[in-house]
Amino acid sequence: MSKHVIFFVAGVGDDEKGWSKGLRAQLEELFDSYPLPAGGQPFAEKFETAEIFYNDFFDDWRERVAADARSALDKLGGEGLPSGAVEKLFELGIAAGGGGFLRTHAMDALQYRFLRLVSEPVRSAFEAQVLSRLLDTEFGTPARWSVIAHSLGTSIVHDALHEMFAPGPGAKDGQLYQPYAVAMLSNVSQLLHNERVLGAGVDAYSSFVRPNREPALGACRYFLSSGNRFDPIAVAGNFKPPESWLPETAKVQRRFRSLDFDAIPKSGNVHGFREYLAHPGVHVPLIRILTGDQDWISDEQENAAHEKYRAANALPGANDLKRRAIEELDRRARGADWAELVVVWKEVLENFAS
Amino acid sequence: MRKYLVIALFVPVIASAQKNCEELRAELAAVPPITAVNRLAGASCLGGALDQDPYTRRVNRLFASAKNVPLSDEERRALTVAVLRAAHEYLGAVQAPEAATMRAAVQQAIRDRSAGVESPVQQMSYWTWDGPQAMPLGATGIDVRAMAQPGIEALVRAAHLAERAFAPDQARAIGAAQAQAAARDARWRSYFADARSQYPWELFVNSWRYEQTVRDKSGISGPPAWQWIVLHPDIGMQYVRSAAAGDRFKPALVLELVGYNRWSWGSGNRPQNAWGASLVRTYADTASVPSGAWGLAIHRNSKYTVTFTRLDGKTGVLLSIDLAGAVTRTSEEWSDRFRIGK
Repeated sequence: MSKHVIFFVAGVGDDEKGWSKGLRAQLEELFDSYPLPAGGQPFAEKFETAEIFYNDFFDDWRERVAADARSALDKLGGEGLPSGAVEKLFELGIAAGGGGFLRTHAMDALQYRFLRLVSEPVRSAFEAQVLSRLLDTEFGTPARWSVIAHSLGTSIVHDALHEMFAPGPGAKDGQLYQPYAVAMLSNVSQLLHNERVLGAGVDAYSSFVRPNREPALGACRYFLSSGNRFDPIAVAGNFKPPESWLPETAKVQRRFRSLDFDAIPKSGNVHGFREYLAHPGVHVPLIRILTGDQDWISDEQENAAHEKYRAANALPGANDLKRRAIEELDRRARGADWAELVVVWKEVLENFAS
Repeated sequence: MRKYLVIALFVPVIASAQKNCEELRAELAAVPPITAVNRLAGASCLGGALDQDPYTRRVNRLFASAKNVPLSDEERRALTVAVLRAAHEYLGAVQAPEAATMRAAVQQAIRDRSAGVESPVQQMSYWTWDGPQAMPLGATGIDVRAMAQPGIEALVRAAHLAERAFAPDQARAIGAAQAQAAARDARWRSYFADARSQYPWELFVNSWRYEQTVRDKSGISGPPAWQWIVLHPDIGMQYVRSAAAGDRFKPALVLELVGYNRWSWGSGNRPQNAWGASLVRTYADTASVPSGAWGLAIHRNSKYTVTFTRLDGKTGVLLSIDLAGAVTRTSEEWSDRFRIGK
C-alpha cells in the first residue's frame, strides 16, 4: 500500500544531508499528539516523509573554487606573486569558499535569485529527487505527494513546480503526477520571483502554481501559505495573492488557505521552520488538508492547541525589548531595498534564532 | 542474531496493530457517514489494497499480475480497460440512483480508451475524491453528501477503482519524466565537478550567457555544453629552450584573459571531447627572457592545457593542469613538480 509522500524543502543555511530528520519527526509527533479520531490511523500508516537536498550545489562549487585558488597560492606563495592583481583574483576565489552568514545565507539566496547556473540545477535536483521517490509507488496505486517548503525553499518549490507543470511542450504528461498539497511557510516566492525563469510578465500570482482540482488549470490541488506577522522575512515576502488569483470554484472548494498568525516563539526565532510547524495555526489546517478530513482534529482540540501554544509562548508586552527589536526589523523589512533585506535577514537569524 | 530475534518477535505485533477494514468500520459506526467513508477510503478500505470487496480484489489481482512487467502501450490500455470494466460491473449492482450516472461515465471511459480517444473521463483527476472538504466527487458532478453510507461507499469505491485504472499511465509518465530528470541532474552535477572550475565572476558571466540561451524554453533546462573563461588565474611550468639554463624550465603564473571551452555530453552524462582555447598572459621569475608574455592556451578535456607564448622572439611552451585537477586528481609526484623552490 503506497503512502502519501510529504517532501520537506529547506531555505538557505549550512544544512547537510539529513537536515530534515528533526522536522519530519516533529510533524509526526504533532500529528500523533492529537487524539486519533474514530477510524483514523496514526501518521506512520498514512504518510511517508522525505527531504529535498540541494545545498551541495552551492557548497561544492564554493569549495572547489576555494580549494583551487588556495592550492595555487600555496604552490606559488614561497616566491611571492609577480602580479598583485592576480593574487587578488586568487584571494577572491578563496573568499568564495569561506563560511559565515554572507556566504551560506545571503549568498545562497542571491545566487539563487540572480544566477541561472545556480538556480536551474537546484530546481533540477528538486524534480529529480521527487520523481525518484515517486517511482517507488506501488503499481496500480495512484501516487500522492505534497510539499512543505520554508523560506528560500518556497521560491525553489514555486519556480520548480511552474517549470515542471506549466502548459508547454512536453508538459501534458506532467498533469498526471502533480502534487496534492503545497505548503509554503514564510513564503518569499513572490518577493524572489524571476520573470526570466517564469516567463515575461509572469510572477508568483500569475504563474501556474495555484490550486485547482483540474490539473490543466493549476499545479496542485491545495495551496497553503503561512506568514508569521512578526517574521521579517514573511513580512518582506508579503504573499498576498489578488482576488483574481483563483476561479470561483477553487474559492468555494477552499483550495487556498492563508495561514497567517502572530507569534514570538519562546526560542525567539520568528522565522524558524520548526517554529512555523509548531504553531497550531499552521499544523492543524495542514493536517486537515493532508488527511482530507476537516474533522480529523476537532474545533475543540484546535482551540485547546492554540491555548496551550499561547501559554508556552506568551507574546511579550509592547515594551518588551525583544519584541521592539523584532518589530523594528519588521518595519525595515517592509522596504524594497535588497541590501537592507539582507542585513535584516542576517539580524533575524543571528540575534533571534535559538 | 539477537537483533533479528527481536525483530521477528515484534514485527507480527506491529503488523497486527494495524486495524483491518471491518474493525475500522465498527469504530466508525457513530461517525457521520461522509466522514466515515472518507476515513475508510483513507485506510485503503474502499477500492484499495485492504478492501475485501470481490471487485476490488479482482482489480488487485489484475495489477499484481502486471507488476514488474514492462507493458507495451497496448497492454497498458488493455489493463486499464479491464479495471474500468470491473468498476462498471460493480456499479451495475449498486442500487443508488447516482450509480447510474457514474456507470455511464465509466462506460464512456471504456469506450474512449478502447478507441484511443482522449477525453476528461480518462484523466485520473476526474475520479479523484478529495473527501468531504471538496464536493462533488472528483469531476463526476455527483454530490454524495446527502446519500446514505452504503451508497457513498459504493460510489467512492467505484471512483477509486476508476482512478486506479489510470495509475499505469501515471506510472509510465513518472518513469519517463524521472529518467529525463535523473539524466539532467547528473549532467548538472558533472557540469560543476568535471568542467573547468569557475571563479565567481566566471559563474556570473556564464550564468548571464546561459540565461540568454534558455530564456524562451519551457521546463527545467539542462546545463550548457560550454563555458566562457574570464580572468581565470592558473599555474604551470614554462619551458623556453633558447633561454639561459636557469630560466629554461620555470614555474609560471598564467592569467587566462578570455577563453572558451566546449564539449558534448556523453552517454554517461559527463562531458566528452572537450576542446577550448584562451588568450593568456604569463608571468615567470626569469632573467634571460622577459618575465611576462602573451600566449595562446589550448585546453583538452577541461583538464590539460598547453600554452604557447612569445618571449622576446623566443617561443615558450607552458604545460598546465587545471587547478582542480592539480588538487584532486593528479599524483603527488606531478603535483610536487609545481612547487617553487623544490
